[in-house]
Amino acid sequence: MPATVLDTPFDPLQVLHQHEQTLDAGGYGAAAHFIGTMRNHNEGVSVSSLTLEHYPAMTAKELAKIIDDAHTKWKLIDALIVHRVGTMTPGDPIVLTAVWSAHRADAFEACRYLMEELKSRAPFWKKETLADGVDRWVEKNTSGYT
Amino acid sequence: MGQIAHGYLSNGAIGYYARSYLEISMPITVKFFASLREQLKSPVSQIDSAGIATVADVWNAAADIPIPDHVLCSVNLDHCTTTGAVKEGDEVAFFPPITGG
Repeated sequence: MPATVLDTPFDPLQVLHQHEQTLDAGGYGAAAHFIGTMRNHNEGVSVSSLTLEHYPAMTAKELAKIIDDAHTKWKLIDALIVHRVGTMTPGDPIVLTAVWSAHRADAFEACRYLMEELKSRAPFWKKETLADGVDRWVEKNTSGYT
Repeated sequence: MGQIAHGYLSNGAIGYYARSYLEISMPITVKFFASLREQLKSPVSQIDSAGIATVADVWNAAADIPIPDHVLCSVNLDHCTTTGAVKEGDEVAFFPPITGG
């Protein structure tokens, strides 16, 4: 399944359930997933909403490359990434990474790889609206999978 | 077919248009994202490729502030550095550190 970027809310568990209907149920022995959701606080202050901007063409290309790279590094049956853009509120899912493989080691590591790599390679940017109405860009980033 | 092609090439007018076509260069498309876009007063979205060799050259032609220390950039959707090569028709983007996920 290719990576998907959505500008409307999504239910990660429903996405997982629907996707697993497309897989051979006995073909995998491990499924690992990560769901990132919006916090109501960041760096000591309350956050009321979050807006995610992205560079659509490059995001699509990078997310597809990250999935391809994961398939190269581990023995995977399937992998998917779903990422939100637009404005969301606390509790809303932001990102889903999921991997299916024969054994747990590949599933765990590849799932973490998808998440860490997208945080350092896929061009998304977060802008928070604080409880007092002030907007601020999130500046911290990560260095990728290690 | 070969004779027809030869005839066209020996025609002065056709030759003139061929030279003119070769001299027309495709512009370079420039994009700025997120906080970086907001810092610029009048970012330019297309520049002439004449005299442009690197990503840093694109910044200098399209942005109205000095290039920030930690700017990230891409050419044709691939990450690169400010010394990356740029040619006519390319799409060059500048953006701050990535914060998705």
